[in-house]
Amino acid sequence: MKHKFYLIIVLSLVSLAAQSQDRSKKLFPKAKKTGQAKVGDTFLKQQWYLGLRWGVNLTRAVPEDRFSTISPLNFEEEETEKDYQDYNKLGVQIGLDFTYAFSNLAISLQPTYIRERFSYSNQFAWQDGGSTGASLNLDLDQDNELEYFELPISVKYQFLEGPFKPFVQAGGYYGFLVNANKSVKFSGTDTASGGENTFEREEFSVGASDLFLTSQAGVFGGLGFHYDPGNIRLTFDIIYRYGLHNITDKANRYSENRLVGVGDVLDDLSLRNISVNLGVLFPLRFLSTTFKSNG
Amino acid sequence: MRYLTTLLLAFILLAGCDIRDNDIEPSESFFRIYDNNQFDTSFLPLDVIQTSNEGYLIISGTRLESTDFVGVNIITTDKAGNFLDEVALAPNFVHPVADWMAIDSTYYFFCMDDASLQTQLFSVDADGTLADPIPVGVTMPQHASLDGQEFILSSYDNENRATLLSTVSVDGSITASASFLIGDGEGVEEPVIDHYTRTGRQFPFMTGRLDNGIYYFNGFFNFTLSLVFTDLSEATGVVQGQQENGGLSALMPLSGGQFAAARFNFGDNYVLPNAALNTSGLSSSADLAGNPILELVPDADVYIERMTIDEQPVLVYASTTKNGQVIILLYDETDGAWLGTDYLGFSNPFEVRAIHETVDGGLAVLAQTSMVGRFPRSSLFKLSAKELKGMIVVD
Repeated sequence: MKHKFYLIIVLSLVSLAAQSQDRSKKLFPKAKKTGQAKVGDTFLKQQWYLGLRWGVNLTRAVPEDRFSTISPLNFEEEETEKDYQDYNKLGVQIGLDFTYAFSNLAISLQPTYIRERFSYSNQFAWQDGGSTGASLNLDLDQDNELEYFELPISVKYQFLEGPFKPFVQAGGYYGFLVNANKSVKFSGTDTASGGENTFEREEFSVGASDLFLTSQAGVFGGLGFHYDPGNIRLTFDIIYRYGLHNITDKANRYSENRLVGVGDVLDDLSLRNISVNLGVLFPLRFLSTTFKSNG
Repeated sequence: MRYLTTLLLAFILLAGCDIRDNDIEPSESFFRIYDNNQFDTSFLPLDVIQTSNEGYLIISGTRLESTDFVGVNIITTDKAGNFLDEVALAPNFVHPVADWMAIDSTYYFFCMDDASLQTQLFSVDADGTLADPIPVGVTMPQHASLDGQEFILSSYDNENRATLLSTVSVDGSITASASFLIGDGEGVEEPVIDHYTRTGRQFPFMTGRLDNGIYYFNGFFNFTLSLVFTDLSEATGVVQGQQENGGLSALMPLSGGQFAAARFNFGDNYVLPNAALNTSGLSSSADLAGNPILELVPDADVYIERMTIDEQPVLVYASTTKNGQVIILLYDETDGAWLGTDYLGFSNPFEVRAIHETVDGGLAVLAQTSMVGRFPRSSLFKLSAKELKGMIVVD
């Protein structure tokens, strides 16, 4: 299934690129020999772009239903809930950008590798109810790292003419999980030994791909601007992504998690993500040797 | 545009698959650690049973400050393993023995009075409500199992230095009994007493009855931990161990005189998924073959459950590995062929205490774990039928 999916994607992208080349020839047959393009020309209002985009992102995990391996006998269930830290781990993304622009509208397909990170912590505490008053407090800080190959499709509307073009955009994405890892760091305070022993154990990581669904789908919106300094287009945008569903694989929540023994189990959760992106796009019609542009 | 539309539709279709199918009943698969936030609380889980409302009853021993015997604690959970209630018996009731025994919707277990050492029969309903204890006319219970509407109980008679095998009705009356001397001499009784006070090795005492009506128990007889077959008048067959250093560690009678078994011998462990035991003569457990399972702790506790997995009769073995995990071994019941192995637990150490099939075809695995490596707690793994099926790697 996975391989078929990748094959469909690759073939589609190749086909799309080929078609865009072909279409650019049909749309713009034989550019003028003297072909100095003019801004505002209909000719320039239809364009195919191909380029690179990259950037950084921050993620927030939103728990829908909470789960814990700890079933408390003499303390409150709420004490076992995780504390999520929002937008605190930097992720990265890099991808291609295929854009078809017509007048003020553009449609983009942006195959992207994206690494999203989120973290949460669990706190556990035990006390000596006797005369010593000793206690043990344990903190588990968990970093979750998910890598997706995503296919976002968006529609952009740009406001101005000229080299500087602000735009708004909206779209949807489908991501295919490539890899996932969890790392956990133990720390705490132990007063049972007669003194206050603050400890921190070595962090360790485990594979977590089986804990998450292979799919992630969502919608997004954002704003940014194009800047056309010449025969390239530079882009900058900020995007807010909204995951539409729980990404935890419910069937594997306990059985495939090597950290259940220390009290960790994933909640049902969906992701929110803010990304900042830079891009460089190349107009495909400029690949023709018969056309020159002053941008 | 045509391509973009096609791609978009393809994405939507693909996205639908695992997202749409991502649903499982919380009771199908879970793991719970039943934690108490007090330093001095410790639980030594003994057995788990699924009740008529699909929840679970977990019986554990608890450390008492006034005696070497362990007290009795019962935890009630819902069908997803979430804690509902806890009952701690008065501290004069000590030394609970496995197994849980279900008659209709009432669940029975034996323990003993800490002063008189007299056996007590307790019953609990599915909600964990405890009935008054019924004194039983034997001392020092070792193991009990269900036989129709009555119980098979092995116990120790410390006055006569004998293992007693009795049948007990639900009203606590003894309907039949046989005595088996453990032997005279210094030191013979010591390991038995150490078992009760948990200051020594915990022996795999067992009881049961074969299809042909012959009873059996695994206990001390004639200076040795032995598997004894009896018609409750005399021993009809004995599989001798190596004093307290060898013998049977698990037994499950199969059809046609075959057994699924496990044995230990001076620290080594062997599983015998298809063994022929001599039920009418004298033999030695050391002469039994078996698959050496080198990763188990020395003289490991082993538990066997007969199940049907993916329409295949399977013997499920569970034990504890040297690195503190629960090992699950699957064998074909028909020929004893190995089908698969899996491990449960990571980071904190786990020791298996019981396994039982659940009504949905899954497996409940009761284990002791140590939170942060220091607080002994009961934990319950619930494996779904699908997860068990996934453990089978041999067609």
